[in-house]
Amino acid sequence: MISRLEELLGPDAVETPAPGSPWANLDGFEPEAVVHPATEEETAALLRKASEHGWLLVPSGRGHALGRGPALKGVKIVLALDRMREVTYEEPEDLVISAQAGLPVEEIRERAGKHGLRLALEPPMGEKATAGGLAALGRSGSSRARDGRVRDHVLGVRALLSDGTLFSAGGRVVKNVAGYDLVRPLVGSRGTLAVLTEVTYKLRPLPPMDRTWILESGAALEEILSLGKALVEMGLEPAALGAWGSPSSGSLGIRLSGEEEDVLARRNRLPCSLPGRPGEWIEREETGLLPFEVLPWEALDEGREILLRFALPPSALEGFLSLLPGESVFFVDLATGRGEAAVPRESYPVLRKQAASSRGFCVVEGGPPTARGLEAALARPEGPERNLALALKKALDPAGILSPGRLD
Amino acid sequence: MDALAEDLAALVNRESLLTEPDYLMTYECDSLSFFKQRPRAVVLPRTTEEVSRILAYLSRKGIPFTARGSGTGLSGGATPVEGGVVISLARMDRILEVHPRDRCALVQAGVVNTALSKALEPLGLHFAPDPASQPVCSLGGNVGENAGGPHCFKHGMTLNHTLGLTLVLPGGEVLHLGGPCGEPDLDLAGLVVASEGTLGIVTEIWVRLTPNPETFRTLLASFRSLEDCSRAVSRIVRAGIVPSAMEILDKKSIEIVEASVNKAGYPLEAGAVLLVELDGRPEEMERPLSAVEEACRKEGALEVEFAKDPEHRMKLWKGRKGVYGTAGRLAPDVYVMDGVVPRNRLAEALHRIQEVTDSRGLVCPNIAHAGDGNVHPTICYDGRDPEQAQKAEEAGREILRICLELGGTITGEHGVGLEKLSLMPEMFPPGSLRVMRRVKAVFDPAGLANPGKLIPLEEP
Ligand SMILES: Cc1cc2nc3c(=O)[nH]c(=O)nc-3n(C[C@H](O)[C@H](O)[C@H](O)COP(=O)(O)OP(=O)(O)OC[C@H]3O[C@@H](n4cnc5c(N)ncnc54)[C@H](O)[C@@H]3O)c2cc1C
Repeated sequence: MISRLEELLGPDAVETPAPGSPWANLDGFEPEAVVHPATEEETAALLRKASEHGWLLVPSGRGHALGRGPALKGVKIVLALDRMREVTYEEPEDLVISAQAGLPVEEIRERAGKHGLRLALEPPMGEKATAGGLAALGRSGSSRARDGRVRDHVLGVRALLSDGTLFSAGGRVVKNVAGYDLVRPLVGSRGTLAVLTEVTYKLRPLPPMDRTWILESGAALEEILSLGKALVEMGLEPAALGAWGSPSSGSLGIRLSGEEEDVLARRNRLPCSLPGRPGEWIEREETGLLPFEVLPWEALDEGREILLRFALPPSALEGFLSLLPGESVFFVDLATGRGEAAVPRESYPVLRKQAASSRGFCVVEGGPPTARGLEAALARPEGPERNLALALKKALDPAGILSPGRLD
Repeated sequence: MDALAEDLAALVNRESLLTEPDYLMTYECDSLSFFKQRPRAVVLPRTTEEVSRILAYLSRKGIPFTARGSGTGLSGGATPVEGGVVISLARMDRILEVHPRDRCALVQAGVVNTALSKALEPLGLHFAPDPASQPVCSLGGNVGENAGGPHCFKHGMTLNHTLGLTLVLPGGEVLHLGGPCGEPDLDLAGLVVASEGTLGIVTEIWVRLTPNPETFRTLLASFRSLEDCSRAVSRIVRAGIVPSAMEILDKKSIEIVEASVNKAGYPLEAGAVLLVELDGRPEEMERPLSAVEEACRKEGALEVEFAKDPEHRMKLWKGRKGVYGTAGRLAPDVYVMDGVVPRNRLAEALHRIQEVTDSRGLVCPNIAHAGDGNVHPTICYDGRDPEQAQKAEEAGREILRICLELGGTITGEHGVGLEKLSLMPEMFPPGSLRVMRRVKAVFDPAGLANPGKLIPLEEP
């Protein structure tokens, strides 16, 4: 296989995974090769070959989010898109940018910033993300309340099916209903349906003021949640409203953005603190709640067993979070009902059931590969919806070579 | 009654079935009258179970079907297919659940757009997508086309407000895709949005609800030319201002509304006007509003007028909303185009569109959801005159080609339907159409769901 790959892409585009690189350990096993095609054509040629020979592969940007979600199985080749990193279209006046999949998102942010614009997606641990990986993973981060889902920011893509068919979906304008909106299922599909080669993102103007205040109270969860609920009901329309910590000691953070006068007026409406508790709202130097969003991931590294990703209707959050065992560490956005929690493995079934009964979901996002098996995100429960997802996968990747284990 | 009618009558109430030719005539087309096709029957189910039973039956018989909401579509999406049955969702018009705290609701597909917002009024919430047809069109139809409206610039299209849906597949199987919290991974509900009834029938929708803005500030700026007006739009976008709506009306549109009952007080001497609205909290209005005014003045605005009170605001909007209806009185037929161009190419696009229609002697008021680069030239013609009809069609095609050439798309919100099928190969590489066909076959292997719409059936 290696020699065939070298023949196809040239010897310097094929390597064995360097020890310590994120590609050296894919969910507990080592792939045979990491390949770095330089163009869409080379990628297509590689895919055709792989389909023909049944080489299982996983598309990757820089490899930093590979150990998330459903565990991979039997992957032989990492298809790294990190050499494809051109900005293919840039129209700041139209608030649009297109980039090849391997372009680091940081570069998009820098370019946008020069024009007073931003890419309004700030997923936790997304500093190392690439344009393609950001879309493929589909995690939006806590500013979702204001900025919406990843799929709301992706205007179009170019992508390759596993048989090498090149296609485009969407376009470069903000409104477009020509044909099926394939962008929607591709965003969040984690390399199971197609290989994204180019993504067009919508940019947003930087708000004149964007500030974050936190209240580190050490109060118990119920108190935090009831204050959070009051804040939502006051109509403060925060850009993010996060609660984090452990069930016995939590904190709250609020991000307000917009016109200066408006941000300050809303800030002044924040209740001074929790009734009967010390502590007050402190302004953070940096904007946003990212350091708190990664707390569950840090806890996972420190020995919590699995990391759950969940979404509930905000009114059902209390019931769900009250089931978290004492040693859990969570971050939740109270405005959208989305969050993550590091918990012991045995609490998963109860939490999953509770989420489902509130018409939300709870899936395993992090932890050892054995825990990210069947029950994980892309594997929906048995039923016609799952069958449809599987049929879509089969139609787009008939050889079944893309990201095996994640949707099968 | 023929065998088909008898079978269908056994599946639903007799009064839920129409087979009389007089009734069927109403269903021959949607609001695009280029294409007409009499359906074999029309069924008006009341529940998801009924829809499922009907589709299972039609699939056993191999009979194609077309979903229909209110039939206000402008691309032939709800126009029946040959030998097909129409499934009208009009009687599935119940709001099933409203969750104000979670800002979502579950509705049946036949609920009319404004009926939902009216019902939500006491809660201070509304459904944001506001197509001009909103007093009539259904939410299922909005999902079918991914409808938008003037306020989508800030608030997004139907897609952005759809959290989940119940889809009945052509074989009768019922799927629940997403829900109040969306989907954990593959966004299959999102794929169904804008699919024009070609993947199955949507019977229920989880919609996102939006708080009613505290205040509105509306201004009308008039310009010497369309170009100046478009440049003002680009300048506003560039300045980082996000108004909730930015609408352009050209000279012809101004003339016709000012001569009609929808008279809005637009200055007749202007070459174009720009209607801009901001919404939100009072504290977030002032700076953006003056930035908008400044942008307009820098591009040579003749006059900038601010809405003084809610009545004045309504009046300014009445003109904009009345263009289509008024155009309908200029000629027996109107052909509403729907293309999109990058916002910084708007001036060029509008200029070229005018040349296309002027050179053919066609009357064509031009309006645009300018903030989105979405142009709606409205070609007025007499369909009884074959030469005029042909000119109108040609002009339409040329306009959409201009949009493609400038880097845009052939439809921003009205859909492909039958109307733009032949342009799909110009917009997409062959691979894209192949992938779309594969996707259709996943949902509809027998090809019974509104076949021949949205994507060309065969390889070109
Ligand atoms: C005067 C006028 C102004 C308009 N203004 C706008 C505007 O500002 N913005 C805009 O976006 N559109 C506009 N439109 C177009 C039209 O109103 C929208 O496309 C609307 O969403 C159609 O809704 P409907 O219920 O009439 O759907 P229909 O026309 O009945 O159907 C539209 C499509 O959706 C499918 N469909 C309908 N219901 C279902 C269902 N339950 N399940 C699956 N498929 C279904 C149909 O098969 C068809 O393909 C306008 C139309 C008119 C006549």
